[in-house]
Amino acid sequence: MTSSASNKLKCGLQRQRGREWRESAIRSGLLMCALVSVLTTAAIIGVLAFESSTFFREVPVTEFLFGTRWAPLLEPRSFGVLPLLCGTLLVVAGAGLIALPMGLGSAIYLSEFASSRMRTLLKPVLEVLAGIPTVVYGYFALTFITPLLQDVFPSTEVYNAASGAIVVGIMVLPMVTSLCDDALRAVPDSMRTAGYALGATQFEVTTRVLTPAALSGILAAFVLALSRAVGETMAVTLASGSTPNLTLNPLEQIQTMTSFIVSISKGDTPAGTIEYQSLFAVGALLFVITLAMNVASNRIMRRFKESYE
Amino acid sequence: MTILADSRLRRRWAISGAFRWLCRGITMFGVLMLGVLIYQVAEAGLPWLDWQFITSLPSRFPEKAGVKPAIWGTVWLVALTALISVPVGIAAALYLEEYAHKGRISTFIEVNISNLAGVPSVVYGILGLAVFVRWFALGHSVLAGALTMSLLILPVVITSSREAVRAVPDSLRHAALALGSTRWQMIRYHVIPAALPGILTGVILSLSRAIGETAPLILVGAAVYIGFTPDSPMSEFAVLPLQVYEWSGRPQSEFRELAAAGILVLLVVLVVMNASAVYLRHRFQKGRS
Amino acid sequence: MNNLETPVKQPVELEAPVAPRRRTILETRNLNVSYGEKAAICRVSMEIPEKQVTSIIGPSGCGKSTLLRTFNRMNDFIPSLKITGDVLYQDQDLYAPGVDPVGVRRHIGMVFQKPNPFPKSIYQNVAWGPKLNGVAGSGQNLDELVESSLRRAGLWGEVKDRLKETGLALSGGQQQRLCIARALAMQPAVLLMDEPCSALDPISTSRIEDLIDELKASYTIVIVTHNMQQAARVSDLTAFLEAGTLVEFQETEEVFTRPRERRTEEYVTGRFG
Repeated sequence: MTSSASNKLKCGLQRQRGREWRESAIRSGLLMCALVSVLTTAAIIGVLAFESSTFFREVPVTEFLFGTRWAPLLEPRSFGVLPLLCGTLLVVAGAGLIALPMGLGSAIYLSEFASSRMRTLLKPVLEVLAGIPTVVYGYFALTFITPLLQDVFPSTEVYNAASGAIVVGIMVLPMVTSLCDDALRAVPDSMRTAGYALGATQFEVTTRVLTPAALSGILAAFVLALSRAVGETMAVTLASGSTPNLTLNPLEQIQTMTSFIVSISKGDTPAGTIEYQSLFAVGALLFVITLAMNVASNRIMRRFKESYE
Repeated sequence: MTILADSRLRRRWAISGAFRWLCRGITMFGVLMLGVLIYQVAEAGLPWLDWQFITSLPSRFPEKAGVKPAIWGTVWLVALTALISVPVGIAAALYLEEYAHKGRISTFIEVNISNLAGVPSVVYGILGLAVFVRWFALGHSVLAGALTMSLLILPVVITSSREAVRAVPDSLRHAALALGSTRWQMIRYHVIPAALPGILTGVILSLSRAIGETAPLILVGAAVYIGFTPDSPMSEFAVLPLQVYEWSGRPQSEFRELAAAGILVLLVVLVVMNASAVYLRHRFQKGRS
Repeated sequence: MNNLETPVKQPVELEAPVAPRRRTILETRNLNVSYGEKAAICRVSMEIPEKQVTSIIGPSGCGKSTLLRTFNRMNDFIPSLKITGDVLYQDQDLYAPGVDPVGVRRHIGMVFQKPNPFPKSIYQNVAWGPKLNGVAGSGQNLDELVESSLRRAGLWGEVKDRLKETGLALSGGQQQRLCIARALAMQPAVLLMDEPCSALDPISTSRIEDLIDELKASYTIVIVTHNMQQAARVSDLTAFLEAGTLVEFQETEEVFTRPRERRTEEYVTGRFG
């Protein structure tokens, strides 16, 4: 080997080493960015655990979970979260009652009945509905739904659970629709042809073949929508008020977990006090509930996808 | 049994037809709701929507009130959020699509992202309050708000960017590698340009989500009543949806109408952003086929 | 109306290029089918005899499946589809006003290219059609119908102990026989088969072919196949379709040994297609 050739080779090796170093630096940089999401989760869990632990040092967990009076600001103070849970439940149940059957119905219409022109017309409407900020829905509840309810049921309070439930139902409707639509469309066409070839009508094919076949996908959509309703904040805060209330009467004012969090952080509650720490305890409960629902939904969805691969 | 319609068959068809109409009616109800909502807002808000409204500070007197600080606050917030979340989101997407092996780490990150996407926005607010406002001592600044918003939209940015990157055909990658480019050169000069329109579409849609979010900003202490526009990342700030929230909650009908006018401004901004996303997507699809 | 069990009344006397020896059950007269502007079937007239196996062969895209699907109106779902001419089932026009496509499909069953059992139990798969159409009522009658259908499809022995298991757990060939049993449970007069073996392995294929042979004692079978050996093995009559026109239709043996048309000869000897 001549010396010039070996020099060239050395040079090349050096350049290659530099390139490798650069490549791996870039790779690590990108990995760091991907890890931001992991860090976020860790931070959420860390913050909620740390801050609510100081809360739970003063208020026993059992009192928090099973107490029936929530009065963090009024003497005598009491930190029983059940009224907030009950308010949330009322809103979520009402929203589910509206959004789940209606979402499934419009999904069936979109996937089975609508012409492709109708579909391309309706899909953007759904996207627009899904993109409207939640505070706008809150305004809509206050200025349209509540007066309507008051006309029908004169005993309706200005802030009431029903109005929040209805508006949250309308809000999650597009999500239920498009997820159920995806699930129904994932059922292979051969199922449809098999049903029709056996002499079934559209209704029979839809209800006895497609819906059962897409059931786990539909369930996953339902759970996800309910979890979204649990975490919904602004519309509920505006429409349903901020009075903790252990009631099942949808026409009364209530407070959900989310609207409590908003109301306590809006006020002038000094940091470090027990009422301020209660924000984190309620936040932790909210996080655990929604996380459990999301994980459940993801599991069901994965099973659904596996069954059609 | 004949091939002609008998009474049983006729009944079955009647059920089927009724069901079809039911589903159609339900779908139309959703469309109707959108119509009613827009009509309500426009009817109440349009009379208030003028140049004075857009250029004035909030006021105790409805006829003098405006959304200037809220508009500028929103602009600052979205700009900072974009600056933070877009590079991080795209980088994360590139790592997951171009580098990560199908293995425990990438599955872990993926599961993590999909779970983060379902965390209620108000919980991000709690996170922002504890970490950015207090721990980092950023106070009630627009930077604290932007950092919180960035974490909130990051899962969406990552997911949509991944889809755009995945849509780049492998043949392009192979061609670049065969010409002697390194992995990063291939990504930098071929994958990113090809995926850019798709990435941008996703980014715009996620940012429009950030524009509409209110709850996390209440937690990090965005102001509802502010007499100035932000001039640095450390300024206090107001945002449009929060202003709408504040006005909606007041009992006087004038303020509710102001809220409607504020919503109209918000919706116009969102429509412009969404339309540009749709336009980009359209061009992207045309370019590919 | 149900004259399936009645003996053949008409004497065999049919002129024309096609000379089925038995009573005609399905007939097309000057049938034209088009998708929008594109013609798929041109002026096809054929008579399909009862309790025989008729196969339709031809190069891909020649309109075999379209023709088959006009017999049970499975083409109705394609909005741009236009049909002129007549399709007669037992001398009734299938496309006459007042004829219900669902009613048609109760008489004329179909088996598809890929086995498509419902994601339900084996029992429910077979019982699905009869329940829907009120054929067998329920309880014991239904149990018997499910059993006899599975027996006829040659699947009973393999599944009788696991009727509650999902149909998707069966092998491909078993799934296809399940689909046949499901179609038979409707007690149809005609069974349409659209390349029923194209997704199956050779052993499963030969089981299905044996089955077809057994079934023709009680059912009229029309089978579309791209496999000429299969057509030769299983069918009594063969129709050769090319570019939507019926080139030749006569006894299978004749088609494969002494075709009348040169195009047929070229196709069956493998010179094109």
